[in-house]
Amino acid sequence: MSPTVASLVAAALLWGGALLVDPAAGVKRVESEELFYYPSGKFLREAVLGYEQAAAALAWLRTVQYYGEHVRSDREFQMMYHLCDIVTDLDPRFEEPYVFGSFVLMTDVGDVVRGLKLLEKGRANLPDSWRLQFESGFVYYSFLRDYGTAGMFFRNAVRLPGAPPYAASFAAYMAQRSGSPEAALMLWTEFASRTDNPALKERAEEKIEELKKELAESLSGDGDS
Amino acid sequence: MKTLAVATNTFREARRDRVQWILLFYAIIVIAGAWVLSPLALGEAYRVTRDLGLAALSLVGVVLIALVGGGLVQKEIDRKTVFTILAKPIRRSEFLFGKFLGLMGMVTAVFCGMVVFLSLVLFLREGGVEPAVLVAAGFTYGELVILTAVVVTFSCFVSPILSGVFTLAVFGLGHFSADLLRFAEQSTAPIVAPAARVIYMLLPHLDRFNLRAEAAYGVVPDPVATAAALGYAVLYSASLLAVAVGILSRREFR
Repeated sequence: MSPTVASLVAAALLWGGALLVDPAAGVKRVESEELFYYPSGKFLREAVLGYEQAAAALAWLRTVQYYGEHVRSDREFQMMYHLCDIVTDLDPRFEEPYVFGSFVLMTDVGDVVRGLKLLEKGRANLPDSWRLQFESGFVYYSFLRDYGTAGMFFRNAVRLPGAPPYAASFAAYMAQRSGSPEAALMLWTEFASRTDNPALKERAEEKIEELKKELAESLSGDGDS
Repeated sequence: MKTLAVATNTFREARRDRVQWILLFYAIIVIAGAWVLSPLALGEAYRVTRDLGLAALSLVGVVLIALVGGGLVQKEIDRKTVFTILAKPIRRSEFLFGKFLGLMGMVTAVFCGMVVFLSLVLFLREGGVEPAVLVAAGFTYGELVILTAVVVTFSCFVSPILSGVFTLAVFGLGHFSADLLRFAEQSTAPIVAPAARVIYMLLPHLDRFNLRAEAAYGVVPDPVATAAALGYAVLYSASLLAVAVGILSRREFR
């Protein structure tokens, strides 16, 4: 067999093999089942032989991929908590999975308990993180409408090192105007501006538009009366 | 001088094996991490590049040592070239130390290339490289020095494939050594704890050279810890080479 023929045969076999497992050809993996078999992060931490950071980075990419796949299809995110739990077991100081995971669990899954559990884990692992305190305040304010607890977390955030100046003015504003749509709008606008995560930014911008409409309607309602 | 000649020859031999291509492999990993995976990282692109880059730095180095170093001495024996070398006025210790230096030279060249490449990619992405990343890379080099001594020692008495496999096993166990001691201390069997302590002392404490988590959060170790790790790498490698010289001195070549 000449090298050219051998190459053509190899390419044809490779192509044929790829077609057999091509999702476009109807061969689909059962995604959630696959993810059920993901071991716990605590086990993985021992098994990765000192490469926890790299393993956490790969698990994070898998989490984002999982979110991307489901946000375009069924909008079911049942494994989100498990994935974020793995990432944060591998690297307990990785801040973003706590914020992103809790946000998705609260908004898309409606699983407040596990959303709060993830944030609680984050606060325990990163007691000096002003951001996790601030995001906890945000969650209590926006999703649970528990303004007292939200205020406590905002005040905690202000006291921590690295907290930006807006956190202090924000905490004061929230204390005065808690529950008002203006305060909610300010909170979401701030959330959208400080996140580097495009998925979170997009969701926050949707919420801002919604709140602006609500505010405009309530203003026009006041004007009519 | 004789040691240097053996070292130079070992280095050239590694180059003939086109070991430098491993740099291209590393470059692909880092570029993939930096540019291809970035849009998937949701604002954590720099972190993904840095963590995968540092992990690949260590893994590529370990695999390189296991593959190239495995046959370092045994190949010379199998090809009978060892007779030509040892017929000359060169001591076995000089021959072995030359082999170690040659392999170390090759590992150093490839490692430096990888660090420069990683730094360049991080610089282009973020406009700078955190000192903690370079410190973590330096500690990884310390780990590679120990593993080079391990592979040279194994290559004195087992086949090239087994040398490589044993070196990879030592690498794995070296990261488990502290856990091994912890598990043994919980055991009620009287012999387990002292036996585990002996194994713990014999195994390299490679977890001491893992500063990748610290690099992720910009933590630089204090000078005492750095000096202790450096001293440990030198002493452990020297003791292994002494064992290797002992083994090689007793070997009869037929």
